[in-house]
Amino acid sequence: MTDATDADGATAEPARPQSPLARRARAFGRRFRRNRLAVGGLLVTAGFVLLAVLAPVLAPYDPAVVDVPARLQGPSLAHPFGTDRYGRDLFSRVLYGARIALQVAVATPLVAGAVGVPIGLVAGYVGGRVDDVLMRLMDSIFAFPAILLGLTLVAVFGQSLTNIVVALGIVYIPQFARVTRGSAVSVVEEEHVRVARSLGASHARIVLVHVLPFCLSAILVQATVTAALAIVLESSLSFLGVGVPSPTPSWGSILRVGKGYVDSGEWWYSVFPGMAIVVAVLGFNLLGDGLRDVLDPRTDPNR
Amino acid sequence: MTDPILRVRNLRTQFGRRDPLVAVDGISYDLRAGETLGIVGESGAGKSVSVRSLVGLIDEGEVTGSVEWRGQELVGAPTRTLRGIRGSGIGMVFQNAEAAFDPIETVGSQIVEAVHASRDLSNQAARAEAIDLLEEVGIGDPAGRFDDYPHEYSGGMAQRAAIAMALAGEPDLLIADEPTTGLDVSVQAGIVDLFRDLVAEREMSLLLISHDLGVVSQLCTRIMVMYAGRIVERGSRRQLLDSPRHPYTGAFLRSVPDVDVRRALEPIGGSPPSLDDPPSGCRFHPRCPAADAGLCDGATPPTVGFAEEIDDEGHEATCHGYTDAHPGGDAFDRGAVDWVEPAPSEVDE
Repeated sequence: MTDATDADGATAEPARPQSPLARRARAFGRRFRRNRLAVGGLLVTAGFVLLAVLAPVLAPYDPAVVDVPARLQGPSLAHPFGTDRYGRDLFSRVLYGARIALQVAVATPLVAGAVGVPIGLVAGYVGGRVDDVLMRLMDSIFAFPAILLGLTLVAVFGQSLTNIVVALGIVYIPQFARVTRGSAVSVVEEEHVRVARSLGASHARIVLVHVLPFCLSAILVQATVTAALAIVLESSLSFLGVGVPSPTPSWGSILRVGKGYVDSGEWWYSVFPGMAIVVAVLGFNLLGDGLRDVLDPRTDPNR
Repeated sequence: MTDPILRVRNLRTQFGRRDPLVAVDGISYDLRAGETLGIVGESGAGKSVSVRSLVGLIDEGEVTGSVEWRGQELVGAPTRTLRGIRGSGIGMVFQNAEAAFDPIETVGSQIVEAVHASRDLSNQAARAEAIDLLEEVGIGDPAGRFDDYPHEYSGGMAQRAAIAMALAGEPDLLIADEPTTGLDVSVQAGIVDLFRDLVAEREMSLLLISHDLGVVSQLCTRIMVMYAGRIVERGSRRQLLDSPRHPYTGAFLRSVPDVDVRRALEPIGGSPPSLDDPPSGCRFHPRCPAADAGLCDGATPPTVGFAEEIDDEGHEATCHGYTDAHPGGDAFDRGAVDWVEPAPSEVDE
């Protein structure tokens, strides 16, 4: 038997090498910290999540308690964001609105991903006719304006937070399918997938063990972006009056009422919930863009 | 002589329906247990596609003809059947060994996976088997290297590990597709020795594909020469190397450096034909020095059998040069012709 110590062979080995995933995770952490966009996005998003989770503790008032004599008061020490037409504290309502936004931001990508990722994997792995049919189906969903599709679905399902999340999830399925398919197609072409097939591995095993892990980074970025889009879409639906039913304070529904008071000078009624939407969406978008840069070395300007 | 374990008849693989590209155009051969068969030819001759077609590893293309594995038809067989044969009946080793492994899993775990795919063993037994396999292919400290990741293996070691992975299902036939290409010459020699040992010890058959005649002639007792999707000559190693009968085989031999003989290399003029639009008649005729206008560019060449003194194995070439219609010449020793079988008339087109 010839010896196998060719080239850089089996000479002294330093400490136990880390798995490529662990090494990649470390490199990821390093690159993430250096990416200001990503860090900024993470901070804003973390702040948003924290405020949402701690809303019951932080809110000075019960967001549903009506205090008619104190209605439509401007920002003050007692009511930092002012009060609404029933005298409810807008600061507390915006804080509680963050809870709705957070639920939407977390659940929508989960729902959309749960359906879109498998579709994308199958389309990318099987290819051919199946790919064509699945992706054209996705395109046809994609062709509907998101807001129109969301409106229709909520009208069909009925108004509740769960139904809205499901509706938003359906709206964003095609994006997950596309992103996953895109990654899967390139991985499927790789030699190790062909080798796995030549060894008699089952399709399910190949897809789950050898293809899916390589799609995760793209899916993660998509989830972040979808979170931002979902917040906007939920707010839009609430603004149009088909969102989370009152009295639950959603940013969009506060805005809807607040817009009636813009002309009469009660600016705080719409400005603060509007700003909340902007900040939350900005946070997720920055995080998403930052993640994309960090996960894909080719687009990272801070490399 | 025993029955062949692999019997290929008129295997044809084409890609695309409109304007099909025929990568493999009707090849036939037998492979018996323990036999070593080499397929040589230039890049793009269809060698790789022809072996991938055997076990249904062609995705977009269409495979026709017949492939019998131990009497069982594989062309058109359900995926379940093919999966059972992949790995445990027919193992495969490919060119780029480092890419053969999933980069995010350890080499050991992937060999264990391959063991599990075709054999019912406990995790512990599968791990022990994987370590034995790594040892068998000559990896030093197999237990220590078991948990290494593919990038920690050098090219030659990765190829050995890929061979171990292909052996995990205890295949009766190992198909090696350019297994030494891209490796250092010294590493190549080690891999060639390894194949020779494995074939002898495991009594398995080897189907070796290479553009490197040196590697093929070291390992294979029988050799087929493929050109533009067809087999143009076949015979024993000695027959092909000592008395090539097809002009392409001769040209191919003269284009390879030989350490023992100092002579100028003769590149084959022109370039391999595009398979989108292969030449009519004999596909080698545009590059063939002895091509006869009106004959070689028109009719599909007949198969000519040769009576050889060297071996009693069949030696065949598909060439017009041995027929009376061709002016002949020094390149064609008509005295050796044993029989001539006209080409089957082309049905399609």
